[in-house]
Amino acid sequence: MKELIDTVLKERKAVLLSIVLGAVGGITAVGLFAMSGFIISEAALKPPLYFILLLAACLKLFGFVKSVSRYFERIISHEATLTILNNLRMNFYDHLERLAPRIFTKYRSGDLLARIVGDVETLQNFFLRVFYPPIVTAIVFLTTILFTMFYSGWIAFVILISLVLTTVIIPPLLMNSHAKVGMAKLKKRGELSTEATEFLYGYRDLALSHKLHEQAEELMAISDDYAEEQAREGRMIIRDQAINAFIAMLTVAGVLILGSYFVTTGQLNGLFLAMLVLMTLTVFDFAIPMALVPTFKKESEQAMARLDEVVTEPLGKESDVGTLIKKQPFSLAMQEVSFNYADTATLKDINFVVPQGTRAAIVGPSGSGKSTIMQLLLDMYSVEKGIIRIAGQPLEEIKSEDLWSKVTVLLQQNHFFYGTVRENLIIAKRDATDDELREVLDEMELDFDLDQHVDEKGENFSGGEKQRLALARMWLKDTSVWLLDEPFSALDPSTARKLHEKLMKKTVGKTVLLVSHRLVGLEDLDQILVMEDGKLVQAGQPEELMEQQGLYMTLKEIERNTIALF
Amino acid sequence: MKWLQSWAMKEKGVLVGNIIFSLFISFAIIIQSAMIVKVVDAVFINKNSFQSLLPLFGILIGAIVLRVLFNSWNNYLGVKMSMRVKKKVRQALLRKWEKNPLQSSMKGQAGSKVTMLVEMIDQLESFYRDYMPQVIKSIIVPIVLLVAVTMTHFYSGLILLFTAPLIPVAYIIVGMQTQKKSEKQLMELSNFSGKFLDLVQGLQTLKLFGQGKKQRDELEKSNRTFQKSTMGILKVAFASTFFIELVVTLGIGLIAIEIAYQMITFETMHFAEAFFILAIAPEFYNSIKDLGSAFHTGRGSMAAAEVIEKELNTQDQPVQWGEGTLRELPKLEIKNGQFSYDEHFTMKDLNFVIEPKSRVAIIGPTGQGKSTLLNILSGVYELEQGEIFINDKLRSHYSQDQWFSGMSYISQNPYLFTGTVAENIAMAQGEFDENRMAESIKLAQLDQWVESLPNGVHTKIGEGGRALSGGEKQRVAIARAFYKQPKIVFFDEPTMGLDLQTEQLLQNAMDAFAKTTTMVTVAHRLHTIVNADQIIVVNKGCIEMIGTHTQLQKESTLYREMIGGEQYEGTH
Repeated sequence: MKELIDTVLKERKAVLLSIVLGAVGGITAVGLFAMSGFIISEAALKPPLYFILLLAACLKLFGFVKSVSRYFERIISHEATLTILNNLRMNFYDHLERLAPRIFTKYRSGDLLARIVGDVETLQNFFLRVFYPPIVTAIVFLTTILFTMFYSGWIAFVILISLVLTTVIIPPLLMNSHAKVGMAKLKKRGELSTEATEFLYGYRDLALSHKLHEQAEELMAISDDYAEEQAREGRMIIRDQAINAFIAMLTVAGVLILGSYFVTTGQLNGLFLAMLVLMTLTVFDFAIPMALVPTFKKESEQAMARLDEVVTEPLGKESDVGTLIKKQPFSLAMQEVSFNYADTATLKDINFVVPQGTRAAIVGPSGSGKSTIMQLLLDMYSVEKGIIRIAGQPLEEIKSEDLWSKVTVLLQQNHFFYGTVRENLIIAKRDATDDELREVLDEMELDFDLDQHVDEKGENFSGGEKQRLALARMWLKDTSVWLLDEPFSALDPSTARKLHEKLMKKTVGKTVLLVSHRLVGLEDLDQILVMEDGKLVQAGQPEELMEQQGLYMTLKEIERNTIALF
Repeated sequence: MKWLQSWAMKEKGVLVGNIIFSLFISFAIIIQSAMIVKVVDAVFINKNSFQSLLPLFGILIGAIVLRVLFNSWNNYLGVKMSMRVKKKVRQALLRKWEKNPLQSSMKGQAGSKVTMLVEMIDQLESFYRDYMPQVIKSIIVPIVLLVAVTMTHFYSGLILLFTAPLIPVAYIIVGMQTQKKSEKQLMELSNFSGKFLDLVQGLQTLKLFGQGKKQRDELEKSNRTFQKSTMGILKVAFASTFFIELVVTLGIGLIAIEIAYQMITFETMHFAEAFFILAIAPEFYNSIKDLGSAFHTGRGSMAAAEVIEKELNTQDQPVQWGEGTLRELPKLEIKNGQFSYDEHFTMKDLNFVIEPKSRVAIIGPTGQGKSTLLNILSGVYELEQGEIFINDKLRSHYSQDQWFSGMSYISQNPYLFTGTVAENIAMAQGEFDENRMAESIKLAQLDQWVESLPNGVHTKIGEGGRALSGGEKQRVAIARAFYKQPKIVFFDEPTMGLDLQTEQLLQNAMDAFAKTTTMVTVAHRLHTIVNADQIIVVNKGCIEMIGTHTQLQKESTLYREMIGGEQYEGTH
């Protein structure tokens, strides 16, 4: 919460202006009605007309000042709010950037989006409804009460009492019941969306075991419950508004009763009675929204807590500190490395060296930990036990950004951004000419136009096209160390074979680590690492492994049997 | 708008209630103001005693109580109507999805459908809760108040009558100006969301290419554009509020001056009448003003309404079923079948027979129609042209339940429901049979895995339960099929290399099923293909060849190439 207040206070000038303008607007609004009450009473005493016209002119002026100050108050406070939200969003994103990709094992990206859009949006209420309006209300009321005391201390006291009732005593009392109903509603809502998701994802399986109708009925029951809970909350809000409106109106009646009593006893001049009544009627317009302040405050706190949850995740190693890698190409090695993290496959005591300028492959069934090794070598996670060495240096001493700039990486999930083919290629090489880009596209046998549109996540391309586009990026970056995770998994056999040969030619003399669940074509490599269940079970030259009766042999056997290529 | 109103029109009782309460609210306002005026008039002008005022106080408090109560009841009705409509719309949507043929249910993302069912329908709320009751109130209350003022003093009534329309006019002008802008703003918001999701998912790629900073700037830019367009809309809205407040001030000011003239110069009006008019005038303008803010909240509902209406109105072609029973193992025959997925992909000239108890393998390159063919055969998709026969009778002769209860479909990515292992395998098929369960688990080679679970077959899996690996899911799905004891099995073989145990199981399962049932498999494994009685090679939406392994190998170089040429020959 303190953090939120700090963010708000960065817009000090806007905060101050909003308060001043809000107060001016409020006081003139109250003054406007007080004055019209006074004029009408005065008129009854038949004063000269010019006097009334003078007062009426004042009235106009008040009205104008009120509208103008309201207008600017709104503009300034909203502008400030949007700036605050903007800062919060970017701050959130900056944290995410540093936390990626670790954060994705914990939060789904849709969830993160909900936070950055929805929760940040909720926070707009903090400044607009929680932070400064109570101050404005306090100023307006104090002014009114002071003014009233001038005529009658008792009436001022009545106004003060009901102000305290409507803003300080009742709202917190109401908040608790709100919180309860709100929770019940949220629970039902969660239930509805989980069950609906299950209904849609499992649609085919439900249909095939003809449980569709039953499940739909169940969903409808939940939907009805949810609507009832919402209605309950709606009724509660109406009830609360009614309570406050009732108190405000009773105060007006109270002022009228007291006032008329004092007029009959001569303690108050009857001329001012209409003024006091109309003034009370107006001033409570400011008190009624105060009833919701605690609710909005609570909501803001919850939204902020959800943002904080992500923002306060430990950041891990900074990516821009550490030493530079001196040798090129460099070696890659793991010593006694164990690793266990959320959704990634576990690794146990992994030991290997890929000497500089040699090429190795990691093979094994899916889920055996091949990709995790890649992620660890790229410093995307920190290991719990053991040492990873890059060019002989421990990885934790190395500046990650330097490492990333010196390796050519193909991940299993390669991201393509919404834009053009050119934009998606030149992220690998800023200064590449169009001819250069066309050349690598040719090399990959991709018949793409550079200006061709790329949908979000490259969804307008087939898996094979996306994979080749990712490979084209490798060809452009072309550093002395290559890490590739299943580079040809989405290609048809003949293209895969051709590209594999091209890769072999391209990487002569470079350090290469290739993750593959296919064994065909790996015979030319210097070393093969066989993984199973997070353990390195075999390692050596391909010929050596063929002679051993081990997992490698079995995998070869299965592969002969599986035509997973189409 | 029409669609939203049509749902409201079904709630006639609520609408009548709204009208009646609005009338009562107007009367309460008039009585309340009249009492205040009377009291002030009594003590200020007529110098009456305090005691004589007591009945007036009673009436005043009564009017206040009634005003608050009627107002609350009026709002309650809005809540009630929104609750009823939401329930009904959700039911309509769910019924539609339930009745949908599978082909359209599987189209589109589940995520966006859930958003439609939950969030979008919630967005309808403000239309029924705030907008509808407010519209009625904003029509009735000003009219009644206008009548009251006109009856008290004709010229003041005229001033109200002529200044009031300026308020709706201002709203209409603002509405026209902001509509385009708010569409633009919505678009920018979705751009920002899109950009953010895109970036978040590509963060790792960006880091590896050292492009994080540049993309961040673009995100910030998109954020600022959104901020600017939001502010643009707000500025117009605030300017209109400013204008309306001036209109109201002007109106009240005019009335005040006119009343003053009447009272002082012409002496035709008394204090009480003047005060009454001045007390009613703000109430009159406010009730019109409220319509504007309600309109803004109601507007949010319209965008949502459009999407929901569209979804409810799409027409789908369901698979046709009849009432016939199916006892024997089915013989499937497809004649001149044609099916198109969308404009880009059509399957045609589908002609073949699947004999009972035979093993059929469908092979071919990715995206050329293998899975579509499996969906057509399994009764998930309906043909556009041509016929499917089961045991020489049209498929539409048989009942859907009969067909589905006699078949199993094992997809590449089977869905596990929240529930226990046993529930996921039995899927509520008749009475629970413990022996059959044990047998199925054994056949699916799940017995060791089940033993390792904390509660055995009663361990919770699926969402919120224990997470299963791809291989484990596959095996649960196979156990599900064994438990069902189907007459025919449709199997979409996984393309990925699975763990050794599952690979082994796939082979065993094939053989086990083949003993008692018909097996139709989209095949990626040589074992499946070699052992098939019939291999259907699909390419570019057509059937390229049909035959057995030995036939095709002899006759077709294409086939030899397809199943991996040299690699295959090496082993035989």
